[in-house]
Amino acid sequence: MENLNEKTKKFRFNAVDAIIILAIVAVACAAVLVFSMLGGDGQDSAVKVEYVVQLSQVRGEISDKIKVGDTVIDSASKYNLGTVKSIEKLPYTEAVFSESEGTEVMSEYPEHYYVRVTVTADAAYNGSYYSIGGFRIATGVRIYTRFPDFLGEGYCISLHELEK
Amino acid sequence: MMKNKENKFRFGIIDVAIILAVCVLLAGVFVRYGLIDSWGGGDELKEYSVSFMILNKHPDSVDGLTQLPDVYYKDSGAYFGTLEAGVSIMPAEDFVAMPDGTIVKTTSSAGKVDVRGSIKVKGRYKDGEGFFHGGTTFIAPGGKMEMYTANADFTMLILDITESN
Repeated sequence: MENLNEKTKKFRFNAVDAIIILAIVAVACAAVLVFSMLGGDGQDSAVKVEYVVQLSQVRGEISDKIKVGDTVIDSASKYNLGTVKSIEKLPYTEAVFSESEGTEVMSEYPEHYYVRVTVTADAAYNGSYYSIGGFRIATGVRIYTRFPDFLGEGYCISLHELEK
Repeated sequence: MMKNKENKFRFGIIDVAIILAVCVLLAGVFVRYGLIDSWGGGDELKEYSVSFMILNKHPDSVDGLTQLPDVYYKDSGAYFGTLEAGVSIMPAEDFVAMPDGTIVKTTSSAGKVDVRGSIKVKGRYKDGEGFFHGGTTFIAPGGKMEMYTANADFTMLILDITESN
């Protein structure tokens, strides 16, 4: 009888155990839900995209730090966003009111540049948007870019799918 | 009495689950913060020189910058490096729109100053990844960092990172 009591005691299942198991199940369900949302509707198609990130008002002395072949990482999310294909450096301009012309004119800002970086990447298209490793990419999206030798923020100004 | 002792030290499946969960959490923390790398490569850290610029400061706020040259991260308080000799303080650059709409570079009319200098730090450069201060924290030119010394707070723009000779 005592033996039976001991056995019953050993496998007793109490409220705390139930709460722990429920918590684990809830976390697992949440994880499945999140990952299924990230994955879209399960009909993602693999594509190759090319996009341009424009970095503005970059000081001249650090405007040549990005190199072709560099890996681009979003420094906020740490997603790998592809590889640099080409770089274009243009004078940075700002709108300034010209008293002599009585209107706004675009003027060059000395020693500062726009750096336009063209990037190629493997992406997924789920019918409504493109994503690169989970990072949604589209024109107008702000990207906190991290290259091996440069940090800065810019905007995606063009995006298109490359032909296979 | 004996029975009580046995109950006290019983090791159940829940205990195993908790220990496993703690192990997974610890592994996650190590992977997230790159601590595994620093364990294996702590002895590979080399000395580098981080060139920086501090823009548009009131002259009084940078007067004592070089007196106590140890530099720390403002957010964590962790040691970053030591200012090297040769910090230069010059009139702050300013960009002014002229009546005809052109923008010209001039110096601050408000008496502000820019500071340029370099900080000796320890870190590791990984090919294709960049420079990691202390082997773990990524920094690069273009990055703006909130720092402090014993007598000055400042935001610096990193201009270059080179290996010290």
